[in-house]
Amino acid sequence: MALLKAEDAQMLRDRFAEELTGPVTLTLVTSSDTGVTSMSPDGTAPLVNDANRPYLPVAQQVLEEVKELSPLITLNVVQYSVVDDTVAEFKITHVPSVIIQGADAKRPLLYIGTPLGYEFMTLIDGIVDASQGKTRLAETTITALEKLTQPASIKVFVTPSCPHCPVAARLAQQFAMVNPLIRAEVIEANEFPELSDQYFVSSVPKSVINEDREVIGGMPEANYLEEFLAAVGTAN
Amino acid sequence: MSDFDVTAGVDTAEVQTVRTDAVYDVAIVGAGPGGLTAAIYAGRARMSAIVLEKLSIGGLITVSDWVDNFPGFPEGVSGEELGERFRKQAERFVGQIALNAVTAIRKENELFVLNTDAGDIKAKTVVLSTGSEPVKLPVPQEEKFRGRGISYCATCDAAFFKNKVVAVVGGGDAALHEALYLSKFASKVFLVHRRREFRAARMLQEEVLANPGIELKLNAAPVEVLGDRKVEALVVEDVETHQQERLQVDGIFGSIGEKPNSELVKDLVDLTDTGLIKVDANKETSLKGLFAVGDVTNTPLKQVVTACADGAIAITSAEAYLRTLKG
Repeated sequence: MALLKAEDAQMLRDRFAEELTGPVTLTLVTSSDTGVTSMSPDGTAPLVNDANRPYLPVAQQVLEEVKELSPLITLNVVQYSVVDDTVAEFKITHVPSVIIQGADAKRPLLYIGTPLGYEFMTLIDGIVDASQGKTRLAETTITALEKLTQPASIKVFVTPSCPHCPVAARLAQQFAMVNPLIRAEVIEANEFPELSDQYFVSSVPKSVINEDREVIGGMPEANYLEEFLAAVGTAN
Repeated sequence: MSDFDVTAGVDTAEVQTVRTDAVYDVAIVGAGPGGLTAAIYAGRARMSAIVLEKLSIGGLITVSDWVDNFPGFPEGVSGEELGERFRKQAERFVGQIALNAVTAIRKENELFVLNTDAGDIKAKTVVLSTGSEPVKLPVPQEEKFRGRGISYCATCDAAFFKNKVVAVVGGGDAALHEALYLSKFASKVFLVHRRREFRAARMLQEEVLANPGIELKLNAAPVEVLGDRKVEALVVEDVETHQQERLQVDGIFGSIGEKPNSELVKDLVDLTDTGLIKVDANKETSLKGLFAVGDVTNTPLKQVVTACADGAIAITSAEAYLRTLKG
């Protein structure tokens, strides 16, 4: 049974026809090895466990249905392996993971988990941005982010039922699109409880910047930028 | 929401770019039920309208698990679906809600100027629908543990407390709703209230009393949160005897009221002592042409249904005001 309602699929098809200007590649890193015992690289849990196992086929189905909405979208499904090039290049440590790349493949959008519920539009908006090769950020934000000369990381923990989560998720992903030194991962907390515990996530959205500064909640772009710059130690 | 629901917030309405070169008939600040109803009425009145929302369309109701008292839904409706329906209907009339924050408002030569993160916009009238945000728990460790066990949204965060013990602080409808919702996830819920009696609707009180997973701590006020890197316990104090009790909890949900988001206009209009915007029966503030609706106002009842009514009244009043400008 389709996950997308027919009328929503048609509306998205129309939106993509209007807004996608370049090719987009979706890469799903997954594992069909459901009886697995191997740990994920961060050592927190088996790669496939009770929390993420039900989502693996769902992630694939969501992406397959989205791929059908535009001829400009390509879908690659990669089985997780430590020796896989994609896994190594994007430092993927959990499954399912979704990598969204536009023409500038060096600025991927990373979604760790399955983009459902409110996070579905995070996926859709990410595809549009990657396709157009540009963000919706203000010029002042872009200028500030381009000045960054050291690598930075943002982990945004979200859940599908959280209405404020896409705000933080989208901002983090767009920051990463502006400057390839910024690695942004949107992480669906329900699928990775050990990861959520490791970062003391009990409220979403929770952004963890440079493994250090925590920002709770969604907020306007200017405020999020302020938090990010404070974390990376650059005065605006 | 079911685990595999992909349809929340699928938004394909016509995009509204904030126009800094035009003068709108009305700028609606905040896309909760009040603002979205105002949008419907503005669109149908053929007013040029821009609706600005800085965080999440639908407002506070979207994080309500279930709404049983909004007319038109005999079996009740999820807060998320209700917010979604408001959004779709509003966008039919005014196009997509602009996801921009308003940082300041002033009045200049009969026009309102709103500073936004997309530039300045001008409007002849403004409808403020900025709602409120949760009052923070009055404990010294609130900021330390916010997001590390302290939360203000049960529907958002309940899943993190499956089979754990939590406390809900508060005594109104919202607090009891939160306790009931959390009891589906947590192994135990302490419901902490500083009085002997709840303010909540009788039906809710009955449900709480009948729920074996909820333990009441009445006449109790939160005084301290203990823990190393996350919440481990809540110390409550009896308001009469001052005896303290330590509740072993993994999470604490605050539901002790809402603080109105009226900072944008605090120097422009009359407010009550608690920061609510004073409005008359026409939803007009003390500044002509500036209207306010919903939870940010001194309404006698903060509910979705009253916010919606406010939105309709405000636009009708704004229309009448516009006629005086032309006349």
